[in-house]
Amino acid sequence: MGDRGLDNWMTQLRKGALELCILNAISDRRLYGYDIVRTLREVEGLVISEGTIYPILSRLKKDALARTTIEESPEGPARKYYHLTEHGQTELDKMNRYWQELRDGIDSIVDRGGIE
Amino acid sequence: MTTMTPEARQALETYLDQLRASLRGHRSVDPAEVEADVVEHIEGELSGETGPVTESRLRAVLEGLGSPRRWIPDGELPWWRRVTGRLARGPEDWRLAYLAFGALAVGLLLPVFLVVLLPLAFVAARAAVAAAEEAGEELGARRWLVYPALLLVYALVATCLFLWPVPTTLGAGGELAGLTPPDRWSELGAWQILGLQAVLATGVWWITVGAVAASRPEWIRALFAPFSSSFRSRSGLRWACVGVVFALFAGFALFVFSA
Repeated sequence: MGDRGLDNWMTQLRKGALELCILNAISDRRLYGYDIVRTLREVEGLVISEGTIYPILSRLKKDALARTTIEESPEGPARKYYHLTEHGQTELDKMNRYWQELRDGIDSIVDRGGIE
Repeated sequence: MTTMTPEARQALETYLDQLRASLRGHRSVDPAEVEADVVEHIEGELSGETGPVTESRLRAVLEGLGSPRRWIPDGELPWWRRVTGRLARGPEDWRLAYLAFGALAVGLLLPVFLVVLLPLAFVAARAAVAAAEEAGEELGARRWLVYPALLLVYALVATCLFLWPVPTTLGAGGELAGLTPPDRWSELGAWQILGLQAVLATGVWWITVGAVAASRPEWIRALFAPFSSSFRSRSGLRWACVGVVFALFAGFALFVFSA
């Protein structure tokens, strides 16, 4: 796999993981968009283009997985906070279970050094 | 909004214009909501700045956000956005293919413009073929966009190239028929005579063209690319042979009936 192929693979992997991370970030607290970006920055290599997070947030809201509330902020204009809906929490639980199963399976293969 | 220099303000407006254009028509996101979130993000990144934000500082933030054109995968865009996106930013060979097909379609719908649009469609189609050859690629699906213009023009060229002796002979012969004593062609009608003369002229012409094509097959390959890639010298010889048959047949018939 050349450099380009590796870049494509990493991009596809990040895309799938990003939505899972966003849902988990807002599952137990309310965050506004910029806060979500700062939270995900802590995961090295996850976010290359920070702007991609905002269309994902908008789509989660349209899909009724997340909702927003507007709250006044002492630091400036009112902010829009994102948090999970009940439907979003149900879907997130399924996604987290699947992720754990997948991760465990892949880790076992990686530990063996590939398929024998 | 954070205070900015005029250059930074202009750069921000340009970026937001790109954002709006990239999200237009996309049903799964709310463009206004995304824009508001992005503006809030930029405000957050620049909140610690003292004094007006310079263009270079702003661009650092915008680079972190990335190009809005890459935020939404192509597959999630409406079909018309994918087409216009390919026209605006796609590989040259796909844009040329779309241009060829579009020009031909408009020309056929508005025939008054066909005289201008057909050559444009043809040139774009030939350029698309050449671009694919240079890249070492097959045309693939692009041939559905490129071939119609090529086939239409080649049909016109081939008709003129191969059959021009027919109307020329019929037209000239028709004028001369009145000068010929009627009893010379007593066995045949005037149009049958003209027909044989047209066949004879066409045969002679095909012998000439076939001989040239046999000696310079690359001219034919270039003229009718990409359909003539297998044209060889022997193809030109076969062509000349057909011309010989036509000429002999018509010549013999004229000789027999004029005797």
